[in-house]
Amino acid sequence: MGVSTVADESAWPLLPSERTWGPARLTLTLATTAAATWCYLIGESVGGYLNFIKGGLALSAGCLIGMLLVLAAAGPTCVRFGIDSVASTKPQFGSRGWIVAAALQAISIIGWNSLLIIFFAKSAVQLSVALGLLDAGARGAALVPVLTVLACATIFVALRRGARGVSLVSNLLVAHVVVGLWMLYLLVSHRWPELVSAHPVNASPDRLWNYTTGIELGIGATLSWWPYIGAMIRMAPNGRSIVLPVMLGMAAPVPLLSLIGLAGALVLKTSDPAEWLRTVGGTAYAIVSLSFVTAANFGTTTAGIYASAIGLRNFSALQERAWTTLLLVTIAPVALVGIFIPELFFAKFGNFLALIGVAFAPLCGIQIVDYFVLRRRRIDIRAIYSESPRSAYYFWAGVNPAALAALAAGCLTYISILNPLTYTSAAVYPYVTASLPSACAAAAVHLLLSLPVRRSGRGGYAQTL
Amino acid sequence: MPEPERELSPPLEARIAALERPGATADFDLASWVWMVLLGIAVPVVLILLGWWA
Repeated sequence: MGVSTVADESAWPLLPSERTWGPARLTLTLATTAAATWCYLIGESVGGYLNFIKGGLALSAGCLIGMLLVLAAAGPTCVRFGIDSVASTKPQFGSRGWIVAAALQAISIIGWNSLLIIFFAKSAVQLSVALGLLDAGARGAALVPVLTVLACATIFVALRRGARGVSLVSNLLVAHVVVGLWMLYLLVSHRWPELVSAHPVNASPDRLWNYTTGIELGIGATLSWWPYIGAMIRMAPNGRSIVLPVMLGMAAPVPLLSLIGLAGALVLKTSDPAEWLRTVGGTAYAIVSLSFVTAANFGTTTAGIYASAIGLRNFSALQERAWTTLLLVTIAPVALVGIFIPELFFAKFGNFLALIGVAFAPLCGIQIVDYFVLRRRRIDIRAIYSESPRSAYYFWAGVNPAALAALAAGCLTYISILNPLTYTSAAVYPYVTASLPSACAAAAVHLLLSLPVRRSGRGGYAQTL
Repeated sequence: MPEPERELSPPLEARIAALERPGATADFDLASWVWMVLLGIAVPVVLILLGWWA
């Protein structure tokens, strides 16, 4: 087993010589990771408030803004030292406080991947029915848990090769992005007059509120990439080689493929591409669509499991465990959710997406202000891996209260502006979104509270004076 | 009771030493920032304006 293989299965920093992913490979992997069924659900959510043109543009703008936040927050530290997103939070949260970020990552990835793996299994059943391999009915539904387990087992086998497994799966499945764009072309070309005249069913009388919600959904969707991004960009050699792959490879496919769900929701009142492709082009088109969905979700889940497993490596108790053990620990919750409570996840998706924005927007704000303003880009890589009380990032008992207070302030700001469960909003929401003020509030609180931390000589801030 | 010191393992120590060398790491250069501002701020502003007036 080579050194690189060991390194990309650990949370250790990668050496420049081990970061072999160029822009093309990174773009391919990020695009395959980004393109999944959630695009349809995001599009469907936007289609509730905006028409096709406005929805597409608002969503695209939101995705690019959210991606910039994620890139500016986790990107610099991850790409400089070849570390993952969770490890990049140690300078802010402390040598023990990073567990907060790890928990956010685990909840997010388990949630998203559970949703995707359920979609994968359901699509595979639908595909089997469409191909005549299976009768429609209860037996198909019963196969969903079996296929969930099968998918998890396949992901486990692929990821035994570490990051190379993610890249391999991406290379095999990247065609589905093109298929997705073809599906979008079909819907647009067949239903254009209906598309441009369709009225969103949940639209508020306030035009600005609807438009801001489209932008907010885009920001929230791409903020959910924070847990994934570090594990991918750490494989690239420098900052220059990640900007375009992240901004175009990861941010662009989401709004583009979300247009499929947006268009379906507006015209056919369903975001399920298999259903509307059957309407547009018959069974053959539905089969292509189902193949797309199956492949898309498999690729994204593979990347998610990998990122989550790397994140878990930051726990001392798991640092020396076999990679396969770590994979099992990561995959098991996803499999259990997919087997036992699939419908609950479907029902709560909108709330889940909103909750993602609540947590990750302030986290990004804290990381950005900490790295660029407080530390002036100086990071002590040794302190990131040291649990010693003398470590620069030990703060108080390993926790930085300034970052925790800032995270809480950011979450409260978000909730006071937009209730993620009911979508009731404050008067200011249509003008500022909820994620952006949440990130700004967290950044401001972190900046202010870090001044006494710096004066106390803790946190390694003195090195930047 | 003071907490026990936790030393870095030799392979990790070697990695960190390599990354601590001057010039061993870099984040975003000027070109990267130009692309980030363009794609993350300028383009979204244009899209938002286009969408609003569409």
